[in-house]
Amino acid sequence: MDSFFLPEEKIGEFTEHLSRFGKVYRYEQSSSGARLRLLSEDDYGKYSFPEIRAAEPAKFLFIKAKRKLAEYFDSSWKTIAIEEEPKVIIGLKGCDLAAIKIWDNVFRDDEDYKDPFYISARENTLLVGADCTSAGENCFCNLLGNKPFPAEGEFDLSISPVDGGYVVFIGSERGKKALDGFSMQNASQEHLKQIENRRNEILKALEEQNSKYKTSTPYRELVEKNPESPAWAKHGETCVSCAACTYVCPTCFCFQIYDKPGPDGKYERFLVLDSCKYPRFSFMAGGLNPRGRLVERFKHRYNHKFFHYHWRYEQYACTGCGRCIENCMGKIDMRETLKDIEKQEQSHKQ
Amino acid sequence: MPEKVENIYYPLPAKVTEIIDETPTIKTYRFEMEKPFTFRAGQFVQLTVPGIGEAPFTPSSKPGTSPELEITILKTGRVTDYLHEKVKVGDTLGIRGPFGKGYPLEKMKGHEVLVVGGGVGLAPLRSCLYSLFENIDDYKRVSIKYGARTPKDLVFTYQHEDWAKMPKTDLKLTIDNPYPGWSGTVGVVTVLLDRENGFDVDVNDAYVVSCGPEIMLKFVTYKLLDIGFKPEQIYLSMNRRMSCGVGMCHRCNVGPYYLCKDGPDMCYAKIKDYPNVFG
Ligand SMILES: Cc1cc2nc3c(=O)[nH]c(=O)nc-3n(C[C@H](O)[C@H](O)[C@H](O)COP(=O)(O)OP(=O)(O)OC[C@H]3O[C@@H](n4cnc5c(N)ncnc54)[C@H](O)[C@@H]3O)c2cc1C
Ligand code: SF4
Ligand code: SF4
Ligand code: FES
Repeated sequence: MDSFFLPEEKIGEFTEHLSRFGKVYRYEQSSSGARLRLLSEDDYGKYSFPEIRAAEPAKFLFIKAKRKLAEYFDSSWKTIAIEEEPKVIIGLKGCDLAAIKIWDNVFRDDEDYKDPFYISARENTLLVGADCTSAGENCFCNLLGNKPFPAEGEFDLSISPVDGGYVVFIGSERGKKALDGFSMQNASQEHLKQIENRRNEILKALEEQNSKYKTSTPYRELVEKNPESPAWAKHGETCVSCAACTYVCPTCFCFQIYDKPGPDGKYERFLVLDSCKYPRFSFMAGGLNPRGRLVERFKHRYNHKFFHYHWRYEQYACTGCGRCIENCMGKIDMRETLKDIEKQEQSHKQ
Repeated sequence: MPEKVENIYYPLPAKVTEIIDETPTIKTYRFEMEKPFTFRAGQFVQLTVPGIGEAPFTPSSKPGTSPELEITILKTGRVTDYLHEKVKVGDTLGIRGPFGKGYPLEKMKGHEVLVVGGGVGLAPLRSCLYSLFENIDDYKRVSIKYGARTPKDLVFTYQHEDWAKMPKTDLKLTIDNPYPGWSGTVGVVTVLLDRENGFDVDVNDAYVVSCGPEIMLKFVTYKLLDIGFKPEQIYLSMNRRMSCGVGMCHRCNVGPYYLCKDGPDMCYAKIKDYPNVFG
């Protein structure tokens, strides 16, 4: 992979160059943690590199919390060529990039149906990844097979801090094109070594902090085979159905279609993000609700991520970013729940 | 310019050309679309009441390709109340679809078919019946068992006689409780699966398709298993809250299956071990 050295003082120019592709969003460190910011020109040169992923996932730039799907009956909405405003997102961590594949499977790569809005947002967004420079206490990407740095094939460009600046990796043709005319020197062997060492260090830190949560049975099997485990009620007990977990989760995208009268005798259709944590999520006409009980809803989120999604796409719909752990009102830790299911299973077998 | 792609969320206009009162709470709506619409028996559509919302329904008319389409609808909530109370002949509603896989008609060829319906559940099954009747030579026999609360709650009564006259076909009805003037079978639909009530379907050869309220599906399934059917022979029209219809909103699952994509008719063998199959 081609790699170049970007001196610290040229970050403004680099960002300015990328802004030719589209509006620039950048993850930046603030006093209250990392934040995703839409930059104005004045901000390009002021960059405070976040150590780990931000509280906000990038999902709202792809699967908006609310978006218009159609005006009807207006046949110009029947087929559409949405030209989503081009964007650049700088600073997507390994787990942020891993989430994109999970959306792609559902909204872009399905054989039968394609979501034109998602596809347009996806095609018009330049993905600039970034390494993690520490291991967050709630991070468990390593347990989901993800890495604390951008994985090959998942980004257009990526940046890794080194002494005196950053190494820029070129991940795609599109990434290469976006840097056309921006000159940089090749990265040195020392730079690359520095990056490799840090990556190994952080991986090791993640492995250490998560070793107590590691299960010997894969998550799919644990969740699929143990619908009756007492661990569900035990860990779900403090859940208050606030839906904070699904809101911050990069891979929770369940939605609801909503219609209302619009202007000029037309009607409008919107997509609004929903949450399986809300009691009415699966409420059916006539009053039946297969997930009316809290524990069923609690279990469902794990089922969706580790069983149902895996059954269909052979990968987990969880990146291990730990956002749901950090933001849970009930102090529920997904890693503990999963570990406990295994413990209960083992004690049952004995 | 990016190329134009289909907007899967856009409803096509469908004009109401006739409304048939089936029962005090069920009406059949006939629609005319601008262009011919194609669906297989058991596939469903999302019906839009403009500005009010969408709800999933399986057309009750003859599968195939036609600008005409019929949907039989029970009044039971927000969208369906509006349909029953406000929608008139001449109004334009919207249709998205068809979605889902539909009934396993090919698989049932060469076998007996047992059709078990309850209440408005006969609506989706009627589209299946039309397909079976069209190729009746391909099937050994078609046995229809249909139950409703009272004689007034039976749908498509104006067609029952014609169905009973179809070759290799028989139709048996039941109502839940005795009713003045009703001399037929009394009891929930499972009583029609009793030998005493003339049940003579070959349990080793038949495929079953069933549609009705969740509670009925549950007792029909248990009864079928009890009298010797295997889970592989039973197809249930499952019901879950839906929204997108295209496997994206991830709401309508039974186990790992999304009913909108993998159903809504599911082989019982596939779903039987998952929690809350019957709600
Ligand atoms: C595959 C399938 C086939 C079916 N076939 C039939 C059939 O042939 N005949 C029949 O009578 N019933 C059928 N049903 C059941 C039927 O779909 C429900 O009875 C119907 O959804 C009830 O809708 P309601 O709004 O009246 O009920 P409510 O309980 O009031 O509302 C629930 C539904 O309304 C929708 N909704 C509410 N507000 C809005 C809004 N603002 N915008 C958009 N949507 C909104 C929701 O998405 C939800 O699905 C079928 C169900 C399924 C899943
Ligand atoms: S954040 Fe915690 S309390 Fe809130 S819904 Fe999710 S699991 Fe329940
Ligand atoms: S489930 Fe939790 S850890 Fe997994 S991707 Fe969602 S927020 Fe991150
Ligand atoms: S209705 Fe949205 S996934 Fe089935």
